[in-house]
Amino acid sequence: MRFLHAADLHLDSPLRGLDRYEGAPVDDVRGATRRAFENLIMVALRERVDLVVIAGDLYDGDWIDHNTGLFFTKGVAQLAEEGIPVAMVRGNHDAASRLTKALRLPRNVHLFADSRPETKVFENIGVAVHGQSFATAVVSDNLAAGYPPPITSCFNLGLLHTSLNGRPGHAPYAPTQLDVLRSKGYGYWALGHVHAAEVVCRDPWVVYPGNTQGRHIRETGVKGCALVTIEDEGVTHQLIALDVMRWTTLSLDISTLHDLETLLEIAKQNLRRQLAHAEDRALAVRVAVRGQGPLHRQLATQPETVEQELRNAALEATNARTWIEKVEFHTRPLLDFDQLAERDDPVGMLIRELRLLAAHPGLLRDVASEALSDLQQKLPVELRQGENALRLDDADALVELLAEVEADLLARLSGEAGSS
Amino acid sequence: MKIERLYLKAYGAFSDHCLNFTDGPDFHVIYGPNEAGKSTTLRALIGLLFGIEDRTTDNFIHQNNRLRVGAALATAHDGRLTVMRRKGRKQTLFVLDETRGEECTDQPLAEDTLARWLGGLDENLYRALFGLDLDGLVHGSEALLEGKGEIGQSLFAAAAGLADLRQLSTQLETETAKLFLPRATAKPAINIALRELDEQRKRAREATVRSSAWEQADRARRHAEKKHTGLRAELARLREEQRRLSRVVAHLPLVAEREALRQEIAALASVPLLPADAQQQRIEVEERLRAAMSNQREAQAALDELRQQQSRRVVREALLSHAGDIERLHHAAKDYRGALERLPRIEAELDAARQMLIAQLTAIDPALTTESASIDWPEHIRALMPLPTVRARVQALIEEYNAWLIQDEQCAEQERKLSGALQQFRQALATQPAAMPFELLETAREQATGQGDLANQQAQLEREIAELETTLAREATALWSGPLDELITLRVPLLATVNELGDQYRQLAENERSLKDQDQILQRDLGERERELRGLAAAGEIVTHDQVRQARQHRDASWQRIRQACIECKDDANRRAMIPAEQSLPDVFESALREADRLADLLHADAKRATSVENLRQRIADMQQARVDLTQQLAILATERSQLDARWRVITDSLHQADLTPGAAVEWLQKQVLLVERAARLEALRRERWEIVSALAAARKTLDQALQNCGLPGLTEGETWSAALSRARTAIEQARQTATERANLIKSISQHEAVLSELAAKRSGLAEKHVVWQAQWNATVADLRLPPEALPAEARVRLEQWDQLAKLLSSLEMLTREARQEQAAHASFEEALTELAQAVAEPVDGREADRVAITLYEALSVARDADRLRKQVDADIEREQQRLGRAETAAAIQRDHLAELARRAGVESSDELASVEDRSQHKRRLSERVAEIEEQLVRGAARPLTDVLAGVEGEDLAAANARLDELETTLREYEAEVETTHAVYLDARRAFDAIDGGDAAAQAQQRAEEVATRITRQVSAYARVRLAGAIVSRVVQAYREQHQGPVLRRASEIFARITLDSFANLVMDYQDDRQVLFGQRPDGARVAVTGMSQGTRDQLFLALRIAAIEEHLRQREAAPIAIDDLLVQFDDARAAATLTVLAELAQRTQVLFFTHHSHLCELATTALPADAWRRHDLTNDPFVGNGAR
Repeated sequence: MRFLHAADLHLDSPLRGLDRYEGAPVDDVRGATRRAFENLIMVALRERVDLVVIAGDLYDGDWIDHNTGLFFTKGVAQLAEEGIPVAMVRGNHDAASRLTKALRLPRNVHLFADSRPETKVFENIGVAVHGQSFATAVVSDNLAAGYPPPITSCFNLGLLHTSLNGRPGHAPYAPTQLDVLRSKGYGYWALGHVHAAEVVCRDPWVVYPGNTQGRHIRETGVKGCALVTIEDEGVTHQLIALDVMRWTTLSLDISTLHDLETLLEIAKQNLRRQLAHAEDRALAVRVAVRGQGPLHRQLATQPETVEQELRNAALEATNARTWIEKVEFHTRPLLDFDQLAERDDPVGMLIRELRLLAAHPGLLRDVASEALSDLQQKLPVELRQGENALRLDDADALVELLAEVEADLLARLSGEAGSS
Repeated sequence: MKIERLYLKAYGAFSDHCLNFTDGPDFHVIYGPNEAGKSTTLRALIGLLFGIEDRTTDNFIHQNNRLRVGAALATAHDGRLTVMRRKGRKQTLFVLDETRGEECTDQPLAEDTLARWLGGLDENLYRALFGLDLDGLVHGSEALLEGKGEIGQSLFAAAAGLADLRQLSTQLETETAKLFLPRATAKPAINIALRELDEQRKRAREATVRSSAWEQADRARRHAEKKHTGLRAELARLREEQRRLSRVVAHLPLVAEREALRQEIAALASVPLLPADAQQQRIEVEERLRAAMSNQREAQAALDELRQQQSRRVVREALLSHAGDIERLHHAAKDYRGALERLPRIEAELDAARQMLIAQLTAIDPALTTESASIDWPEHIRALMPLPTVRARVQALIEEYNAWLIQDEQCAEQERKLSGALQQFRQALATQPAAMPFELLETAREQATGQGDLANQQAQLEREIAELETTLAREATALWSGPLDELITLRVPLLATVNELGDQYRQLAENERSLKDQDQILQRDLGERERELRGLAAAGEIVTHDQVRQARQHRDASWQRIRQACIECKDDANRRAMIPAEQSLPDVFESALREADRLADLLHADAKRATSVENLRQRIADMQQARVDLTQQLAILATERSQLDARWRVITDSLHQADLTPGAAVEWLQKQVLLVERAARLEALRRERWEIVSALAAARKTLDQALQNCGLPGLTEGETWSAALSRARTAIEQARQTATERANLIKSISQHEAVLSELAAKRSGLAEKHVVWQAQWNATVADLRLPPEALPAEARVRLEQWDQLAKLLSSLEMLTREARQEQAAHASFEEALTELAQAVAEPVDGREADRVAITLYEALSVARDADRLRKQVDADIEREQQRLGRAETAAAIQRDHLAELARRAGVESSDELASVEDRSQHKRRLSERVAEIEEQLVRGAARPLTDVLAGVEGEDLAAANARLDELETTLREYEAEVETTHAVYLDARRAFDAIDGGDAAAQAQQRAEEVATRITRQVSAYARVRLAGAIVSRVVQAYREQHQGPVLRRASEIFARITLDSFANLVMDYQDDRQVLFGQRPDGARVAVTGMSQGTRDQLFLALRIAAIEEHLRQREAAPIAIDDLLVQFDDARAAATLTVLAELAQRTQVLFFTHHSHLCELATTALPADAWRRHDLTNDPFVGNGAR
């Protein structure tokens, strides 16, 4: 018996942090989560699995476009044609979604009730699936504790949307402990909610398959589902990639580099390697340039140009299969800042001023507030608040910004006059 | 930090070059004209401090990996450091071993060691803070102008070496304006992006389909579908009814017709149903019967005719049986006819041949004709013919005769020729003159020529003697005033003696010159050493060891006095007397102590110089002593010279040549020797001439006698010797030729006589041979019936006659044979024909045999034709008989068929067949029509016949038609209604289908997300630049607050000095609400920055810059200041003033002033005291090449 275990499809959830530019692989971004789902259906058909289980979060909670639901039902209808049943529970996002409630699911889909735990027995394949959906967006009960005992004649599978006993970066929903899961005596726990794939335990199998498509730079690496095979000898577990665009990071060190060409060449080599590693999926790459070296000045004075050069390099190296999400500059000049800060000349004073501001968040906020208030007023709410907002009044964010200002100013002060 | 030495070990055009900045003032003017390496040196300095540029152009001599710049550095705190910089990317700095001039690769230094020594600066900051150059000055000055002298910016910019702080501010402002403006009229990026975000959000909202909307669409669709389906079902039912009625209306007439036909068929039940083609069959049988009977008749008629023909035909069988013989004889008939014609001609030819034979025989011998006439003459004649042996013998004898004849004729001819020649020789000998004895004359001539060409030799000698005499006379006059003989016999001194004296003179002169040269060198060196000594003395006090020793003795003595006076309490009046009255003992001691220490220190500090001075003094003394020695040696040489002069005078006197120098004397003597040799040679020549003259006279006499002996005329006086010799040679040659000719003639005569006698003997032999031959010949020719004297030619003709006779005889015999054969063939043909004629009963009737044969042949042909025709008729009869048989059989078969047909139709006779056939066919047509109607019904209704018949059972045609009309109206109404509901359904379905799970909303959301990302980026950039601008303003303000006072004060002083007090000072004042700088004239007038000339503004910026640097140096340790051709645009006076300011700056830190312009060096020389600056020429620096080693 074989089944696919997926979770957190987040259909039609947008990919974040990608600023469109000429030569970016725009087509790969379009409908990425949908195509990952299509890949899931394709894998199920190709592998002729006996069952597909989805451990919650089909859509973003605030997403209301009914088209998304229809797209889902069309997909699972294809499984119905091949006689493949689907078992799923609602996660926190689904519970919040109005879309879920209105959607009519095909007959091969069994959606577990939210009022109490349920068992669905698939007799022809000898599998009993136990599960319970989220009734509301926030569930703080230990749902697993109420799951029924196993059915001895079947392979028992627990389907649950949970953060277990907490996972960093994820809300603590339906909390439970590994011991509770173990005590149920099931053969496999198909979990959802955590977006990074993780095999929590192998006896019994407790598995997060991760989400099917990375949506921003915090969701890097391979994304997909688990293909689980149950045989007399035991359970085999295999992660299958479904994503169409992969998020990665690239760190470049300038310490030993003397010119931009070399930096770009290294970037190209790395990107080519990453592209090959991603089996030719499009890449969304965040580049972090680090280190202390002579190249710093050029990077500091012309960050936009350098970023453009990196984009061009990516375009050339990967045949427009890479989207440079962002280029972060963390480089430092070959200067002894402590020594410079002691100087009584403009340079020393500048460094002292920067240090002063960094050490006094209040003062920094005042200076920033004065300089940036005009813009703050113009920004829409979504950019001022929320997870991805620009926090121009946050001290930590401003200190980070100050580092960039320092690099910029020192480069400008020493660069312009010195070049004459 | 200071740079003590800069080692340009391998950089640019420099190799092992060193600039030494130790000692003396710290204001270094480094002068290098174009191409000398000023800029290279400056680059090397920067390369040393911060690393050699990756793409340096200073590798044109030394390759990149060989580039080296080194330095010795010193700071107040960290001590001294020697470093060497290589070019590279990693580990380029090493400790320098100054003694070897190479880096210690085992002592690497951190890359930023020097930057740290400079206070953590990198290259750019160093250049900004401590570099001064023309471009920076001009930019700074322009920035002052743009900022209109705004005080904060001016100060900050000058201090930071940042020419365009204002530009930086503008740049920052421009960048922010490009990104965002609160109230934008133009379109900054963020403003645009915010609008776009709104737009995308709106688009997403519009594309979103809520679940309720979808459910509504679903309901509407299903309702419309249900209604539409119901209406369509009713419509279908009505249409079915319509179709049924239409069928009834169509079927009713056919069913009626069918019934009528079935009744008629029932009436014809008794008629047999014949096959459809029965009539056709019958007609065909009848036809075939008729044809068979017709054939029968025709065959019988033909048979009768043929039999009649057969009976009429007659054939000659005998001819046919002898057909072969007849044909053979017919062929032979032609030959027979030919033989008849040929026989008479052969007979005629036979007679002719016989006549010719007789004629030929007569020609040979008439007697033979008569002999032969009676007997069988051909045999007889054949017996008479000469035998082949006789014929061969005759041939051999003829050949022998011919050979004899030729030989005899040849001998006779030769004899005739020889006799003629002999006669001629004898006559020639008789006319030949007698021989002359010439041997004596030849001997005399050979003797004369054996002595050579005496006359020529004599003339040659005469010429040589004359030349020699002339030369001698000329040369002697040059050497000698007296007679030539005296000169030749003069006693002269030996050449060696003269040479020896000459050598002594040369040696003497050389010695004198050498001594004088040495003296001169000494004198020059002495001067130099003395100058050097003076130079060393002038450079400072020179302390010698002696002086130190004396000073120390003086100090010790003073100490002794103090000791004695104060410690040992002794007083010594003498000693006290040595002390100046106004000085106490301790004073004296202290001054002595100080002096001794000072001298010792000086000596110690300047030991090298002191050593040099002492060395110099010693060397001067040595040189002076050497000069005295030289003078003495010169005096000795003068004495030697006077002795030599006395010896020389003796020699010149002996030669009577008073003024001769030794060199000239050698030449005189050589010429005199040559002259003596020539005089001897002249004497020898004269002797030789005399000997030749006497030999010539003796030879003439001998020749004269020999000529006369030969009877020739003797020598005359006038005849030359060569002419006489020539004449003698001619006479000898003539005499020799005559003798030779005579001897030849006598020899020829005797040879001819001998040959003639040989010929006579040969001819007699030939005559004997001929007699023998004649006897043989006569015997032989008798056999040929010829007389004995017959000639060989006659014998040849007779042989040919015999041959002719033989040919005639053969011809005769052949003709005889031919005639016999013809006669035999003729007889056999006639016999055969007669037999044949009898056999075939053909009458001959005296016809010629060949005619009979032809007649027979023609008769045979007729008989053959008749035979062939008879056989043809027989075959025809056979065929017609067969045909008749077949026709009879066919007729019988057809009659049987007819009988069968009648039986089948159920009639007695075949004549009744026709009427039965007609009735049967009618019955068939009726049945077919019924089947047709039934098929039509089944096909039209697509149902079994019974159903169809049941369907129309009880129906009425008129009622059905009325019902149909009614239905048609109802149907039209229903169709319209269905169409309407279908349209409604389609609309509902389209609306429902439009919600197809598409991703338009998701796309718009994605786009919005992208725009939001862009805004985030742009906002970050904006915030960074805005914050930078704010911070710069704060720092500028702070710098101004902290440094304005001291920097402005100092800048004010400097500005006044540089402008040569054209400005008194700098002041601050407000202009447009900003604090700005003004220059104040001595009379108090204020000049704004914008009102200053460019040069003055440059100088203002320089003043601020230097003041800022000095301000900085107040707190921090100095770094070397690198100045690159700063003053080239200043006039000389202001440049000189600036140099004094820089010299002042150099008292606080090291100033390296690089220039291309020598006039700046000259300015420095005049404007600055010598100890305030040092000049380094990159072309001829005294430390070049030796500093690094």
